[in-house]
Amino acid sequence: MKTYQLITPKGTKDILLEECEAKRWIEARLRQVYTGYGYHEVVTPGIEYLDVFQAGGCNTGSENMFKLIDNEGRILVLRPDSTAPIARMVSTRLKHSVRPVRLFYNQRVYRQKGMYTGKSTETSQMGIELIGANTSKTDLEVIAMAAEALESCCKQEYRIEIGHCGFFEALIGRLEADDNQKEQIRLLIGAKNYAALNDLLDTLDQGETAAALKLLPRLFGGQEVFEAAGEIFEDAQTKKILDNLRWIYYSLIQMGLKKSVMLDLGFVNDNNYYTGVIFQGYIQGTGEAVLSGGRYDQLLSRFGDPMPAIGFGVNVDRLTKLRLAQGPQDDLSVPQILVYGEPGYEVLCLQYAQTLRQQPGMIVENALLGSREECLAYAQSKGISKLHIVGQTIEIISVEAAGGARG
Amino acid sequence: MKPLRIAVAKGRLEQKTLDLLEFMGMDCSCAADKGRKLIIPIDGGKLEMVLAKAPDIITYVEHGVCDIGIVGKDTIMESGQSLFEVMDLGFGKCRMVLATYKDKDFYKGFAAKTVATKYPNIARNYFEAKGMDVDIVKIEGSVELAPLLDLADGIVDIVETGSTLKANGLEEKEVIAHLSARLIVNIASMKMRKEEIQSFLNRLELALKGVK
Repeated sequence: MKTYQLITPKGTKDILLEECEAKRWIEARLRQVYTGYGYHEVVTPGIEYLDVFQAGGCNTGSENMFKLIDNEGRILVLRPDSTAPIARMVSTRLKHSVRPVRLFYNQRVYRQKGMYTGKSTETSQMGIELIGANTSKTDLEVIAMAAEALESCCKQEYRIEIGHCGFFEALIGRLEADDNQKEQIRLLIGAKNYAALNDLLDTLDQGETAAALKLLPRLFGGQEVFEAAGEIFEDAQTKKILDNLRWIYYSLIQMGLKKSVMLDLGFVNDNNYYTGVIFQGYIQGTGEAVLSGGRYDQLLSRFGDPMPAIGFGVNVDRLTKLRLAQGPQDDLSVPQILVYGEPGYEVLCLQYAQTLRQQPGMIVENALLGSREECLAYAQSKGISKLHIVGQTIEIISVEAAGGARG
Repeated sequence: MKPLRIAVAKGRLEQKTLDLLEFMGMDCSCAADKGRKLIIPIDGGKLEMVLAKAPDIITYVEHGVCDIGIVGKDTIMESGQSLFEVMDLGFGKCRMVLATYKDKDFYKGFAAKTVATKYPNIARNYFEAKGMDVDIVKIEGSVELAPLLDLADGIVDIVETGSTLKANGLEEKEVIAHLSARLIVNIASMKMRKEEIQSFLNRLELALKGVK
């Protein structure tokens, strides 16, 4: 029979040694940014009822979730995202707390991916949720913080791209087309498939709305986007969205982010998850967004406590990979001292090691081997520079000069 | 700055692409004597051309190791998920069709149908949209063999002239999609290297008009 005891499930991996150090380093930097803004950490269960993520509660389709059945026949899923569980938690456990609520999380999410695509099913995400505020000031704070989060843990060039799902929704609402055609248009704009979009729109409508929809996927880049957008978004509703976005954009530029901030008004929504501003973070050398977020004002109402909210998540694994690609940075710490107790001095040796460890940053390993010769060979192979031998007296041996010089 | 990397499907699209790049004023001399090299510097290294099999183009572009790709629409429909498909290059035109025996009605009767194809995802999506259950058999070589050997009721395959179908007594019944070469772009590259990519696209668009 074929067995699988030597391998990890498809799309998962062990994270060890240098990679784990790099990952914890990234997490520490992000944690510093998040806590600095007054966010508190929460942990939600690894499994949740499927209901939490259904009906627009998640932008992962249920076909891509890992499912289990509990002993009462209810469907459980491995958490595919952290936002819906946090929304559930805030609407119940934190119902009467002071608003806004600022929370962050650092946990893994699980999504089924195609076979042999090189994509992980298990991803570490670290993000924030700001619940109970919906001013432009809130959006600005969160986007500025997203930029700071990327800046804090990567040396490479990065971009924060901002958009708003309201443009597409306003336009598509005005277009006379059936749901199937509207869905087609949504997919074509999302894929920036200019040619097919033009062909489809030409068969439907010749008016201003169709012209604006044709232009929408091309509206990305720098401030020039506002000029082009100003010409097609003239009604009160979309003009207001545009003005709001312009204010956020120029505020970020004032903060010195001119090189990093860009716009894409052609963002379209999967599952109607987002309701307002949306943003993504890209870093040179990664093929996909490493950060994504946006405003989701409808989600909390699904849990009986309508409240505006905005948040983002950072793909920690991606950042870890980038850090590792820059060469070794987080050397695995090697103990400075190996201590060995002669027979009969085991307890004294442990106590001696404890006193040594009181020095900050001191790493002391207890030798578990049988003789001083074995200890010396072990210290040499692990690169430990000092061997302390605890007997009647304490003998200190420099390991580099292992051949002779004592004391 | 790293050169833009463009992945091109080996074979038919390769020569067409080189013609286009030459027309854009790029020095493609390295492609003429490439030998067995798979990465070819174009225009003195300002652009790198990667030659690969069609489905791999999608993989390389989705992972961002190539910024741009030139590949048939059939490959995008079969395995493309998250990428920008920004231009229809107009060459390599053909169509994805459902074909079966000349005098056979594919839909007749209640028995579940079997379809042979090199494109299982395209076939599945097509029949799913019709609300039909069909058994799909993946074939790697000449798909026309499957109905001839009585393995399948019909095939979903690419047709250019239709002569292979005709020679084997098969006939095109429905067009599933019109295909041609497309230009795809990695999502992050489109954002990180917008100016370079946009200027490449603009020149390409002009060249396309010129070549036609």
